[in-house]
Amino acid sequence: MKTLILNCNPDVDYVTFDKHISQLKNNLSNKQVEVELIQVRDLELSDCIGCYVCWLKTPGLCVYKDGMHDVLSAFVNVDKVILASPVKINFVSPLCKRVRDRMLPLVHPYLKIEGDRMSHLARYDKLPEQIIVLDQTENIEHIQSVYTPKQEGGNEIYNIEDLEGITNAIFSD
Amino acid sequence: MQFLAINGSPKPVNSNTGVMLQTIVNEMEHVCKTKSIKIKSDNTLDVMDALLQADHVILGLPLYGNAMPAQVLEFLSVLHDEVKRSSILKDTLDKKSIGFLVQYGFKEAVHARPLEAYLKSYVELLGAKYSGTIIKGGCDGLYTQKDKRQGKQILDELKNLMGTYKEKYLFDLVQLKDFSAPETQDKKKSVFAMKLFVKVANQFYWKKKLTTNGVSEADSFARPYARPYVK
Repeated sequence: MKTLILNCNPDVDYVTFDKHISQLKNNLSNKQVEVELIQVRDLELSDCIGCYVCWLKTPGLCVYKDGMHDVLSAFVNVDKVILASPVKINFVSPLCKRVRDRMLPLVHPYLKIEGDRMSHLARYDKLPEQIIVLDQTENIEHIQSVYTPKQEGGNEIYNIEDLEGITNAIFSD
Repeated sequence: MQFLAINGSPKPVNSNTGVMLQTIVNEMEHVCKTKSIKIKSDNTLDVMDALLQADHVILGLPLYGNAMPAQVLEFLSVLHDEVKRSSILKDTLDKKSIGFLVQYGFKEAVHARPLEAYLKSYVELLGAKYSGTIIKGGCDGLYTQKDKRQGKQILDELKNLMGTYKEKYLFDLVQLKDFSAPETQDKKKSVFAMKLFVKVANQFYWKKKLTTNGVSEADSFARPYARPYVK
């Protein structure tokens, strides 16, 4: 069982959040989960500029050679991903959104119809299930509707303090 | 009275959002002074300044990962914090209207509905007046299509949509819905037509772009990060 934790706390001074992340990591390691933790704020990621180089010129690879390389490399090879972010104005942190925007290399430009709407073909056979972890569970309906929409199963969003809930989510199928 | 168009697209050139905003600005020029500005990594204060000087604002953005691009979220976040800090800013915002334009490649409006709901609640949180969100799918490559039939049609319809806005600085909800149709592909017949459309788009639009870049269809499916991996 491999898990990637993407800590999208942008603020070095928000130490409580990082403490909870460390605790979560230790907790999972003690349960024999192989955990990789990436501090996204240390990667100094560029913004995705929608250039489509990762689709049309170097398929699957971003034109920016920055820390996103390590994120994607880990992402496609784990069973679960914990996307952890503080809530900021009823949404995820801009840092968390940046890492999400840079995931365009994970899909192929070709379109398909899925249910009642268009989507892109997947580049990889299987991507890990994402578990969204926030620092509050109130006023998160906008995050819910973008990150765990009903048509994709509407998975539960966890509070960073709910170690047990997150751990159970890691072990669930 | 001043109208401001903010381009939130992170694309440095050939911005589809920019083409649509230009159409909007051209229409607004008939009724008031206009200004355009593009969000960049280093001009947050300039954009905020422009916003505070304008009476009516439309922020245009491409849909990234079912929401706004990170730099737009960053801007909204800074603006919110500044307004929270200053009662003068808050009073200024009370009198402004803020609306949005969201454009992207997928055809259906449904993709942008969660973002629309967020943007509406954001403007209300700021204390400004929400003038509505223009949602338009099927805009990939609009920049190169702007003088051709398909592109022209989108921009002409957008121009019409601005008619009501010009009078009241408020979009008509029925017109918005018509412009962003189809909401979903939920009828059997349209799903069949869309599957055909998707096939054609893949083979003639995307495959052609791949070929132009010297990438074969097989190579386009490369998986550079896949490792032999046993659970």
